[in-house]
Amino acid sequence: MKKFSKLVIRFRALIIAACLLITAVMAFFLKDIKINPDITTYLPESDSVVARYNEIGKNYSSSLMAIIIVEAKDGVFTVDAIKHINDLTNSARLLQGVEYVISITNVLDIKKTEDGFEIGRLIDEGNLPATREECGKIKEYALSKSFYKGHLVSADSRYTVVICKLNSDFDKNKVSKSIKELVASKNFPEKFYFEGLPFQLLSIMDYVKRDLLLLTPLIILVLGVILFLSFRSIRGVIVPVIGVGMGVIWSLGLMSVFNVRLSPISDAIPVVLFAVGCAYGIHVYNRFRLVVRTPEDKRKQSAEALSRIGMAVLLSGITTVMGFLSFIFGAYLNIIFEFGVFSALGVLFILIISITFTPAMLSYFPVEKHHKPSARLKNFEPLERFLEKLSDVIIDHPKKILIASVIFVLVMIAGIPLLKNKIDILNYFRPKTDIRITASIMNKEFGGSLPVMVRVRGDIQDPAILVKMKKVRDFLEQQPEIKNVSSVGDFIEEMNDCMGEGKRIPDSRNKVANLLFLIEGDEMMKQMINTEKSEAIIQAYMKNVETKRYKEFFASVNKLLAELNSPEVNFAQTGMPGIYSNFDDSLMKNLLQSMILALVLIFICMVFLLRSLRSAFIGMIPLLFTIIIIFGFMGLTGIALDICTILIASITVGAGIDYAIHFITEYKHHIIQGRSVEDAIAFTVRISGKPICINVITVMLGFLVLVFANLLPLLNFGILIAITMFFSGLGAITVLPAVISLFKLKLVKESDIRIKRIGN
Amino acid sequence: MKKIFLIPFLSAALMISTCLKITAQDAAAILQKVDYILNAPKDQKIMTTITLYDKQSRQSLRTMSMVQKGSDKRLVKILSPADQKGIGFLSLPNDNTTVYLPAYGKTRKIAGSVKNSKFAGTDFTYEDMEAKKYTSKWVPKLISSDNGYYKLELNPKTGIISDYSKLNMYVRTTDNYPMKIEHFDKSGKLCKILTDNNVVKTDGYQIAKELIMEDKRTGTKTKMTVTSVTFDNGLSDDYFSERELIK
Repeated sequence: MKKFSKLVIRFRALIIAACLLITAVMAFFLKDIKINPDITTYLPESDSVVARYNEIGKNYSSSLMAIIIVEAKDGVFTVDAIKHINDLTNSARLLQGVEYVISITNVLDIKKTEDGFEIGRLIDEGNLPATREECGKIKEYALSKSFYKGHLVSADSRYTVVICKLNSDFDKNKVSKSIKELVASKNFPEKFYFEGLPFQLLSIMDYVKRDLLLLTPLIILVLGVILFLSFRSIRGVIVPVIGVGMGVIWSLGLMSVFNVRLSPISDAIPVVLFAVGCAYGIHVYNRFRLVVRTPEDKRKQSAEALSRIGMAVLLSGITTVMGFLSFIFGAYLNIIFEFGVFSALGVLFILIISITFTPAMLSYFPVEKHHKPSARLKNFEPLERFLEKLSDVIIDHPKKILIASVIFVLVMIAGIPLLKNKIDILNYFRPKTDIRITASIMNKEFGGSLPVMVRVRGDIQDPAILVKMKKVRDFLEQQPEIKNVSSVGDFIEEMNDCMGEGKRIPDSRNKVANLLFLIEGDEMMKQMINTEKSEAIIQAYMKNVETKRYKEFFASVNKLLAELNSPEVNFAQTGMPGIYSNFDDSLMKNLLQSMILALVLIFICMVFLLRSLRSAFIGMIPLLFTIIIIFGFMGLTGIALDICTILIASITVGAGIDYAIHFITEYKHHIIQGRSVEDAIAFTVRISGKPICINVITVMLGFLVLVFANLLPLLNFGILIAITMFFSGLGAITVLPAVISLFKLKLVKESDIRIKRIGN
Repeated sequence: MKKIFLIPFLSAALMISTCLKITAQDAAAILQKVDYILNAPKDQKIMTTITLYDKQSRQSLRTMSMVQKGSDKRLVKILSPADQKGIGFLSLPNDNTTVYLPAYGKTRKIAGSVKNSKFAGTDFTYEDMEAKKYTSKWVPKLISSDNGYYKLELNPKTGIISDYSKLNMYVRTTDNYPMKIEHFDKSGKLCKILTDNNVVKTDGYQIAKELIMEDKRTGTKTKMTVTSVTFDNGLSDDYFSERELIK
C-alpha cells in the first residue's frame, strides 16, 4: 500500500485529469440512458412459462391491449353513456398506432333468429338507442349473455371496457399517451381508468423518472447535511460527494453504453451508491485531516495518510462489490441481475476514485485548519464522550455485552419461521397508484386482472380437440378465483345452436370448419385462434390471492393438462399464476444461494486481506448476528421477502462487513504498535468509532431516503438496510471488541509486534 | 372608370364559374362512365382465386365462383380449400343475405350484415363487395387530369353511411376504367388501396383480371385473380335462389 500511495501522489495531476476525462465521456453517454418499463422483459426467457407467455403475447397481441375502463354513475346502458362510448370508440380507432378497438358499440354479436342467425353488432353504431326503453332492451340482452357480462360489461352494468389493440410497429408509449390525451380531450362526465400492459408501461416510466429526479437530489442533500454537521467543513462535504457522484456517472454511463435501461429497481442505484459509497471518501478525508497537519512535506503526509487508510478502504470496497455480485448468480428477474452488476461496478468505481482521485485532489488543498474544541465545545461532543464510556464498558464487562447480544439474537430467531414471500408484482405499487386502482376495479368488476392462458396445439377444427378444450374451460370455471373464461369454442357452440343443433360442439370437423369460416377475420377471433387453425388460446382471469393458492392452482391445471395431452393435441399453461409460482420457488432459493455465496466470498476476501483465518472469522461474528436479527425482524413485523428485500442478506454481508474491517484494521495497527489488548480496544473504539458512527448514520439516513420511492419493495428495502447498517455498526463497536476483550485476542503474530507494550 | 375595371372582373368570374361547372359535369360524367363500364354486362360468371397475405407475407389460398346479375343479385360459392368447399352466399336486394353451410346441409339467413367487417377473412369488407353503383353513393370532384388518368375525389352523399370518409379514384382516360382506388378512414387517413391490374376486354366488356386490396393499417393484402369469366349468359332472376345456392 505504501508504494501505491506514493505513486498516486506522484502522478496526482495525471490521475485527476484522467478521472475528469472519464467522467466527461460517461456523462456524455449518460444523457442517452433510457427507461425500460416493460414488466414482461423483467422475467427470464429461460423460464418456459415466461417464454410461452411472451410468445402468446406476441402472436396474439395480448401484450398490446390497452384497455380503457369506463365508469358511469347511472350505468353504461344510457343514451348519453352509449353515445360517449361510441364517440370514444370511433375516435380511438383513428389514432395512429391503434389497429382496432372493441367496445359495446361495435362488438360482434351472433343472435339466433327465427330462420337463421344475425351476425351483427351488439349496438348498431349507425342507429344508437335514443330512448330509455331501447337502452333497457340492450342492457337486458347484454347481461343475459355470458360473453358480455363480466367481460365487456360489469354485472351491475356500471363499468364497461373499451379495448384498443395497438399496432406493434408503433411506439407503445406514444400511442398510449395519445389515447389518454384523447380521453381527456372529450371531457365526458364518465370516469376513466387505464388498464393493460401499454398503460402500465406509461405509469412505470413515470414512477422511475420521478424516483430518479426526487431521490437522487434528496440523498445528496441528506448526505451533505450529515457530512457538514460531522466535519464542520465544506471540504468534508464536497470531497466524499464528488467522489460518489463521479462513480454514479461512470456506472450509469456504462449502462447507457451497453444499452441497459433503467428499471423500477435500478433507478435506486444512485441512492444505493451514495449511501454505501460515501464511506470510502469519508474515511480517506478523515484520515487526511488527522495526518496532514503541516504545509511542509504535504505530499509525503498525503502519501502517509493514504497508506494508512488505503487497505481498509480497499477491503471494504471489495467486500461490498462481492456482496452485490453474489445475487446476480441465480437472480430470477433480469432487472435484479442488472441492478447487481451495475451496483457492483458503481462501488468498484467509487472505490478506485476514493483511493486515487480523492487523495490526489486532497493533496493539492491547503492544510485544513482544525478547530480546537473549546472547553465548552468539548463538553458538547456527545459522540466522543459516548465512545469513551463505551470502550470502558467493553473492557470491563465483555461477558455481559456478549450475553445481552446472544439473548437479543435468540429472541429475533423466533421471527425467522414467520417470514413470508410477496411476489404479486402489482402489490409492489402504492395503493393509490393508477396501477393498483385499476387492478382493483378489474378484480372486483371483471373478475380479476391476472391473465391465465392455456395454449392448445393441434387441429383446432377437430371436434375431439374442441371437446377437450371444453373440459379445460369447465375446470377453470369451477375455480372460485377464476372468471371470464373464453375460447373459440364459445363461438362455435353459439353458432352450432343457431344452426339448430344445440349449444354444443358440432359432431364433425366440416361443421366446425364451416362455422369458423363465417367469423374468420374478425378481430376478436384473432386473439383466440391463429390463421392456420393449428393453435388456439383458452383465456381466463384470476383474482390476486395468496402465493400458496397460485401454486396450487398452477399445479392442478398442469395435472389436468397432462391427462388431456396426446399425440394429436398439446396443452400448455402460462400466465401470471404460473410465473408467480416459479418466481416464488426461486425467491427462497436465490436468497439462500446469494447469502451463502456472499458469506463465502467475503470470508475468503477477509482471510486473504487480513492474512488470518482467525481475524476473518472474528470479523464475521457481528455480521452473522445482524443477518439473524434482520430476518427475525422481517418475520416479526410482517415485512415480506420480495424482489428487493431478497437483496438484504447480500448487501448486509457486503456493506455491513466494512465496519468490522475498519475496526479490526485499526485494532491490529495499535497492537503492532505495542499496545495492550485493552488499550488497543480503547484507542480503536475512540478513533475508528467516530467515523464508523458517522458512516452508520450517513448510510442509514441515505437509505431511508428510499421511503419516498414509488415502489413499495424499495421502501421496505430502504428501511431494512438502514436497520442492518445500524446493527452492523453497533456490532462492530460492541460485540466485536467484547469478543476480542473476553478472549484477549491480538489478531497479529507475535513477531509482527514491533514495539514493546507501552506503559507496561 | 369603374366600368372599365368591372368588365374584365365580371368576365373572369364568368369564365371561372363556367370552368367549375364544366369540371363538375366532367366529374359526374366520368363517374357515370365508370359505373357503366363496371355494370355493363347483363350478367357475369367469374371463377377467381383469392390469395390472402398476412403481415409476414404468409399466404393462404381460396378459390370461389361468383355469379352476378345487374347490381343487386349475387351468388358466391367457395370451391376450395376442401373444408370450406360448398359454402355459399346469396345476396338479394334489400340486404337479404342467405348463407349455405354444406356440412349442416342447411341455409340460414344472415340479417343486418356488418358492412365494415371483412368478407371471409379477406381485406375486402362487405361494403367493398357491394355491387352498388358509385354514382348512387358518392359525389365526385375532378382533382386532376394528367399522366393518362383522371383523379376523382369521391365524398359520400348525404344520408349515406360508409366506413370511408372519401375515396380517390384514378380512372384511365383511354377507357374510363378505374385502375386504383384509395380509401380514407373517418379521420382522413389512407387506410386501404385497391389496385386493378391486367385489364382486358372479354366479350366486348372490360374486366380487371387481378384486383389487389392492401390494408395499410394491418399490413395485410388480398389478391383476387380472375381465372375465367363469361358475360351475358342469359341468367334469369330465378337463378338466384336457395335451390341454386345448395346445389
